[in-house]
Amino acid sequence: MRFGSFTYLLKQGAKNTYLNKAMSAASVGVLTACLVIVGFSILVSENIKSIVGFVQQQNEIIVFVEDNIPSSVEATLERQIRSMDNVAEVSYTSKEQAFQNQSEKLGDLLEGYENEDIFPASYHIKIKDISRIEENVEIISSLDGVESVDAPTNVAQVMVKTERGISVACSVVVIALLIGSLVIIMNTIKITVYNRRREINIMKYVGAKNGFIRMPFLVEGMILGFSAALAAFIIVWSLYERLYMGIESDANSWINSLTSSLIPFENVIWKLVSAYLVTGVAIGGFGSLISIRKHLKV
Amino acid sequence: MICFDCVSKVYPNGTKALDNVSFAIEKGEFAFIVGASGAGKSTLLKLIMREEKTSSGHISVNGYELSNLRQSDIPKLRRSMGIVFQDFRLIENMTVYENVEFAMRVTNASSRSIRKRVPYVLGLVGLADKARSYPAQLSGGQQQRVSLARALVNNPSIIIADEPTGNVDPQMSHEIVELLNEINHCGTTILMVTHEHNLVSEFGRRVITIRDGKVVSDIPDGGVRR
Repeated sequence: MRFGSFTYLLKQGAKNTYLNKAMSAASVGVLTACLVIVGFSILVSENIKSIVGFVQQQNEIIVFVEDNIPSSVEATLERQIRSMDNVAEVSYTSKEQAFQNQSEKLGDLLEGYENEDIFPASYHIKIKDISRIEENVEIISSLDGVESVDAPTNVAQVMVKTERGISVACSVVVIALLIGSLVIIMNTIKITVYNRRREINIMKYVGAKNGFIRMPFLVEGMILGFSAALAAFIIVWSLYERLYMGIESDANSWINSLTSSLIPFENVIWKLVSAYLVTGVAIGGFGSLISIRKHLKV
Repeated sequence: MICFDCVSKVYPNGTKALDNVSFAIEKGEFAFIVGASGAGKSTLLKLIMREEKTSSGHISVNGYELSNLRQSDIPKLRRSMGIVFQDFRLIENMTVYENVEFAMRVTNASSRSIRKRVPYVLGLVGLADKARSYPAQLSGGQQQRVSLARALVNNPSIIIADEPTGNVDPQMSHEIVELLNEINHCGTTILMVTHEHNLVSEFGRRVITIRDGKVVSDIPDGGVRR
């Protein structure tokens, strides 16, 4: 194909988009709405996962050490705990430190007990994957020098189930919405193509090849998809920023504490832009090609 | 140039549109195909344009054997002929110039040759000053001349005209056939389907009459029945 013919077809696609303003606007509107909903579903799902992850990190295993064990046994115990692959962070609390911490909480009640071994030394362990907490507790309990292990295994199970549930629910919503968007956009483009079947028919009689007829429609679909992607991105951006700022400036300290685990828009901006452009342009172009197919058989 | 050899066409619903039709139109001829509504004229044109396939028999057009023409070669066949329709079939959102340009674009012609050829052909049909108009802004006769310009622009060896005077007034009808006559004098084969007997008798060219899907008479140039 000559370069002149190629630019001619590109111009025809752009011109048709403008000439069919009403249908173009309808297509862009529908696709934008779908992309905004899909975008928000993904962002909400990611944020919930991030919050759940944050809450998970607050859980820790506390390992109480037996009294009067040789320092070599205690050193081995610490080495064994630190070498476990699911351990993210370990902090040691000596007996003295434990007494001090508790006397800060209990005040006068501990007066006179300063020289007695009331509280055992302990290790506070933060773990990476909360779903493996029971397995870790079992291993740690069997180590030499361990008196007892305290771990929120029930909470862990609930958290793991919640996270999985949210992931599955969001994936289902996103897939359903994407299929729905494709069907709606294909129907919208089909109406556009149906209105112009006479034009396609004339092109065939003049001797145009299918590729020549398809090209302007493909360009048109891609322009519509691109515009919808851009519009959806701007809408999602402004709404998300507003929501983020709203939560951040909320007086309620619990809601406010969530912002540390919310995903700032800057972190997802490029991922979202590229996903939107690829999805928009692909749905627009693919929708056009499918919709025009039937009318090419003349 | 166009050769029908024992061609029959039966539609899936059982309608027999053409029944064992044979004729040949030589290079440079001007032939009218006449017949009442439902006689089979439209089917005959659809077969020539390869919009429909024959049920039996062979058709060759411009060297293309249509019964075994591949789908991908249909555009090439159509580019080798110019087609003029009763309802003009102009693209409404393209100007007169763009409608004619489109027919050249599909042949992958260069922009330079398009810029030269389109104004020339519009001049030939007397519409040089309407290049920027849209079809809706033109009269029926003018629209038919645009359609003729589009058919002519690629310099085809055959022009197929399907009732080109059906939607225009009698004076314009005469002018259009006159124009086709002139094009024919330059060596282009013309096949025109019509039911206007006045025009046919006025121009005195070859007349093939179809009735109930059969060729019932074939009167050559000059008027002696074949």
